[in-house]
Amino acid sequence: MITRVEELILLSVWKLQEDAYGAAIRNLLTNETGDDWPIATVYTPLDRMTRKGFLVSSVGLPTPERGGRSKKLYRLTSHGVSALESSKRLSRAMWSDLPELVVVRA
Amino acid sequence: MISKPPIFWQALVQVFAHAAEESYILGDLEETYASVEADYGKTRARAWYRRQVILSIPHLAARFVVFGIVMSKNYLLIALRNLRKSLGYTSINMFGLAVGLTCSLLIGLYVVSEISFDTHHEKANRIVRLVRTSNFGGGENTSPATSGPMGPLFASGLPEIESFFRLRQRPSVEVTRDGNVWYEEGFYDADASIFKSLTIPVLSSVGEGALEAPFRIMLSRTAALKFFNSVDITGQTLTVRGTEYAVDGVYEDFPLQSHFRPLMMGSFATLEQTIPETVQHLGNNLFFTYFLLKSPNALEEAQSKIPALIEQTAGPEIASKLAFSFQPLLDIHLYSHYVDELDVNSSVTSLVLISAIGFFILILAIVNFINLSTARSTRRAREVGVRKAIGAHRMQIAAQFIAETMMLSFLALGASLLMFWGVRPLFEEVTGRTLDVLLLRDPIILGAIALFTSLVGLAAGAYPAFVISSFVPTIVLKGSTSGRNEGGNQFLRKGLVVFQFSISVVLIISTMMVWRQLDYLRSKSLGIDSGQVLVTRLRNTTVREAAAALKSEFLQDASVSGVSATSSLLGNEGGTVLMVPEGTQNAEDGIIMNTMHADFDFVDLMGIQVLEGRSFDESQATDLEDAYLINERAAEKMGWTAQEAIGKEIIWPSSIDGSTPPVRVGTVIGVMKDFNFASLHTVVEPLVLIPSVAPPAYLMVKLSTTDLPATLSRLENTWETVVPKNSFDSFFLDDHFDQLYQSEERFGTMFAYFAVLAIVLACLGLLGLVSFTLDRRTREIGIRKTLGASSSSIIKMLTQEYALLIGISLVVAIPTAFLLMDRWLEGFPYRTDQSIAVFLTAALSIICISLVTIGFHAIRAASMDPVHALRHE
Repeated sequence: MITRVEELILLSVWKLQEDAYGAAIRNLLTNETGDDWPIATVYTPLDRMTRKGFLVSSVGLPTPERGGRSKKLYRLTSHGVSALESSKRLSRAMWSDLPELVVVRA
Repeated sequence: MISKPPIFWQALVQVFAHAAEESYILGDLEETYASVEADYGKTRARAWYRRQVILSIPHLAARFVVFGIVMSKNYLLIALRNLRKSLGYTSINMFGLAVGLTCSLLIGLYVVSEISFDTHHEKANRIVRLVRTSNFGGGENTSPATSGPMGPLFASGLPEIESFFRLRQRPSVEVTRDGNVWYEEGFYDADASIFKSLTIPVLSSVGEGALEAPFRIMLSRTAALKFFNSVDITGQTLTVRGTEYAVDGVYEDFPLQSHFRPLMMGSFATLEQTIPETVQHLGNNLFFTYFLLKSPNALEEAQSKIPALIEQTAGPEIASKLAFSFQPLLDIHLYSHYVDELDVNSSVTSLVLISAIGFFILILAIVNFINLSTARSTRRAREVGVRKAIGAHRMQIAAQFIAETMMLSFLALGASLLMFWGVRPLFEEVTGRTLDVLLLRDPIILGAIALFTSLVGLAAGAYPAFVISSFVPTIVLKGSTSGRNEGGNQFLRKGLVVFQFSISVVLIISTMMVWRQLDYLRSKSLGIDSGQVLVTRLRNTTVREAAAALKSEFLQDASVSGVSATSSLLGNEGGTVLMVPEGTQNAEDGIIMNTMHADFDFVDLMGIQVLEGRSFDESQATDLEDAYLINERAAEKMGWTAQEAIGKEIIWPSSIDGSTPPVRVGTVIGVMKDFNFASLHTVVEPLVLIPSVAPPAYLMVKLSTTDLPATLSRLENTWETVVPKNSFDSFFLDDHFDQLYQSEERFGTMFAYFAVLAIVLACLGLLGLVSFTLDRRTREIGIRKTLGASSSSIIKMLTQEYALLIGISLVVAIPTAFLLMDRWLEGFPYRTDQSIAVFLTAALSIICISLVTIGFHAIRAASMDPVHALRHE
């Protein structure tokens, strides 16, 4: 089972294709969720999922706008894809066949 | 133009981010910063950057820890390998630090135990002891021994006082119950109010009114278990010194950290009933009086009212000669050193000295540890170079070094705890104190020890971590180790060696001086012939009344050359009384004298020299009634020369006002040469010897034999035939004198142990320095040898340098030790001189020890094949 944050990050990497690195992922998430994600909150799950084998990382070329620093680029592995798929299945299963709800007043 | 992100916040990221991630994160931030600035301007961008960094810090730090755990496993593994690779160095270094830590642990706990005396009493800060200073002609006499009426008088006369209690300490007493006999120290007569003033947990008691009636006793747990094998014994009876007491209760044993520890307390009311005159007599200073003040701050005020109170009660005449002061209970153990004390107290000087030794030994050990670790690490410059060339981050190398020294310091801590457990019994035996090891379980103290150990590890790792890790790989790898920082460190290290050796020399000299003084005290002629004098205690009335029979039976033995019956051991147990010499108008102008009753043989038996007049003579019938022998000091105090004293009359009054007939009126028939009847810690006091045939307390048996065990068993048999069922209780007078110097002996032993440790540590330090330097100079030595230098000239060259350092330490240490010991010796009225021999021995021994240490290495270095030497580095 992957967490919600992990799922979001895996999806971002998928979406960003060849250009999935820290800042791009953070910007995508920030734009989609409306929260200003601190950069370190992206790296922690990225690193964890790399160790789990959902992602592979590679070092890109240095660019001037990064102050001459390299990007660390991420790609989804087949493990990562199946993790996303099982997460999606699980969501669906949980959402389907919901009986009618009597809302309890808070 | 797009600006750069704020430097400070970038640096913050560098601090918290792990090295492996740092650049990606900074890159990401900078990239986004640029786009934020392009959209919203510089100010917003900066604010955004700050916020990013601040919000990231917790995550970064958490990741650092995760990384840290992964990496530290690696660091520790490598550290362990490195430590194992050089096992010799590791064990020497660890051992040194462990010794230092053990010493400071021991000394720390010892100091804690010394300063915690009597602190267990809840009202301790309100309790004071009465100290009397009297000056009835011929000098002052200050002592906590006071007379019976003082307690009630002060308690009723000074409003600051809440209550009082009095104590009378008895020498070893005979306890009997159901036909069993015990001889016990620690019997006190005490007022019942002691239980309200001091904190004494009571295990069982008759309740209110305990110890108030006459012939009642309270027992400590130890005593109760010993005599009754139970602590629930209220109402049972027990005979002490022939008096039957009913048990009022049992109290918990006094902690070891108490200035007196009563085994049993008999009710004071017993004394008031059996010897009312003694208790009421103003001149009988037999009691120790304590007061509970209403407030801890009332001491000064209460004390200021004493003179008026005395004047009002006893008149101006007496008030001018009698002064009192209050001594806080908490000061007694460390600051009170009167002739009469309930137990041997410690001195604060010794405590300070011991703490200083502990502190210095710890410093020595830490200095060594840092020095050795540092010296060692410079050998690894090349390793650092290789690591850096492969791409190790500087912080990683630093972490590696720190991991190693930390590991070593914690290993040392572990070893020192083991050592502590091993050495503790010996230490406790030497110091006579029980250490409160429970303190070591206190989380705060444990935390402090752990923190301290990590600081030491950190300090030792700091130099390699921050200096060596900065070496430029290309230079280091090319050969010559570092090429920098040599001079300054060399100087520092040499300074440390001088420091260490100075301390060692001071300790050696001090140890020798302490022993010399102890030896002097023991061997100084006391003015009496105490050799082979066996003292037998006459415990009870039966034995006392049989004294004459015992004496004549003992004299039958061929090995016995004389027997004398005495009232006290040697004049120091008889208490002091007021004696009025001829020509003195007022009784209160008399002189406080120590008294001793002895039979006619005493003077001859002890080999006491009679300077003027004659000794007691059995054929002179009147001697028994009116003869006095006084010592020189007494004659001097009475204002007579030895010659003048003969024939003078001395009155021993029973009351100051003369309303009752005197105890004794007599004439001085002789003046004895001063002999030390107490200990050499004090000068000889006035003594009056009174002939007596009344039941004595001791029989002194002078032996002349080479077979002591046989003689002793014969005497014991004789004893048993004369007084069957009474145990033969004896000791040698010399042993008794030796005991008086117990605290010096403990002090000396402690000094000796710690001096040895300091020397060991100093040698370790020297060894470290020498091996470090020689390692540096291996190539130099190789070249010298190739060019024709002889081994001996190289040894000389290497040794010279250190000889100079040792010389400097001697120059520093000898005057210091001289001054220190001069101070210490000043505390003794009878003291040995500072001998040149002591200083020479200390100097020579330290020179020898250090030369052996250096020589071992120097010879090895000098005899090394130059080919190997040149290949080195």
